Amino acid sequence: MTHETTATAAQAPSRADTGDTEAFIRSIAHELLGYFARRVIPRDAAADCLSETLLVLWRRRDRLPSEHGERRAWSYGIAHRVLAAHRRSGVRQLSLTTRLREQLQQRPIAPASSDDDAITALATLSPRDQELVCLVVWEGLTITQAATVLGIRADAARARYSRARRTLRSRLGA
Amino acid sequence: MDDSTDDAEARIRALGQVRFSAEVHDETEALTLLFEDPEVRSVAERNPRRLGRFRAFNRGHRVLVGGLIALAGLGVAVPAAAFTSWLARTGEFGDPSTSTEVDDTEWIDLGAPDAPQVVIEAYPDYLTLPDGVPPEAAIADVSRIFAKLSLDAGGQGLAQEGLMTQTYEGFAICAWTGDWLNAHEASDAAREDRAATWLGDTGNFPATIASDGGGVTEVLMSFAAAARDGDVKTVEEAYDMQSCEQHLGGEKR
Repeated sequence: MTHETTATAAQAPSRADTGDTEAFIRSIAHELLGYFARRVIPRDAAADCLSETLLVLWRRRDRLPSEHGERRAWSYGIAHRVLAAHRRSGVRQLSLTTRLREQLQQRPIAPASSDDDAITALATLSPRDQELVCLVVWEGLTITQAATVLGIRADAARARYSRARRTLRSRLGA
Repeated sequence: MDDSTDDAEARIRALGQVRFSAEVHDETEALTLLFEDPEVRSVAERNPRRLGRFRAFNRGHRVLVGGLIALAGLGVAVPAAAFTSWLARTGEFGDPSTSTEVDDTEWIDLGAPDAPQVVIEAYPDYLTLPDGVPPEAAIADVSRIFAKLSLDAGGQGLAQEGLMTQTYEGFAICAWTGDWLNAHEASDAAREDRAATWLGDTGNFPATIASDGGGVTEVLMSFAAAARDGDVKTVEEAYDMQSCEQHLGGEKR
């Protein structure tokens, strides 16, 4: 049995809509694991990134927006900063995550695509544009929400996104 | 890429699809639930102010919980085979040379998935609690303690089953001490007497007495004597010394 995480799944209503912080964090945890699993190497490091993000979410829960979409975007903003810390080797390894880390080692994530052309096309974008596209397409954020996560203005994000889309279409002959 | 039929979008989206095994899904769920416990988060964040709880014990309490404190250290000194097992029951039984006390009960792998069930099953049949204190309260407290010890030991902690029994007995001692204080406050002599009698009967906490590494019985009996004599100050000290407020759900008496 496998559990697939996609942008579509991320947009499904969750119990977090009830305003229950615990339920929201439970619901977002699987999405965030997917976010990290798509971006960190080795992939089992996603366990540590996730736990660090959960700790920050709990610590700052009083700032959790009430609207579900904003909550998700806010959570991805934390995840984005944790990812940056991970890339600086600044994420601690918690004993709590041992089992999840082991599972990610023993049961590697099965990639659903081996589309080399698409991989290459995405890789031609600047790192910031790549992340903008991925936040929208993979994580299901709006461009405005993705702009917040990346710390850029919404209109700048829209322009960048439009340009990235043209590049991808051109590269992929779509 | 607001056009869902966009082929480029579909191909980029496909790159981001990842599949997690059911085990990964379950472990993520378990991790998330763990973080709902503020104490777990505190341990994870290595917050020294909150971890200071164990350090704050005075000497008398250190005698009582010495086994607990030793646990994290002992946990890394056991056969490696135990760590790889998914079952809490290791099949290894007590060895006085590796234990602070003489205890021949089985070593339990606190990091195993069934460890919480073993903690529940360790509830001693003979344990009696004051009116209004359900066994579930004892189970909740002891489960919390061993979950924390497991975390402190990096998920590789081992504890002897006898230590679990003693921890249940410790909870009961707290419960009866609290009951005595409440009875005293309410001028309920009969209830006071019942609590003092319980506290003075070592047959109520045999595992604690049997594993006495020095001074435990003496300290407990001095508390019982104080209860019998109506020495409220000493009984209050006993209550504080054993961190009974935390064991009994953090309630101020």
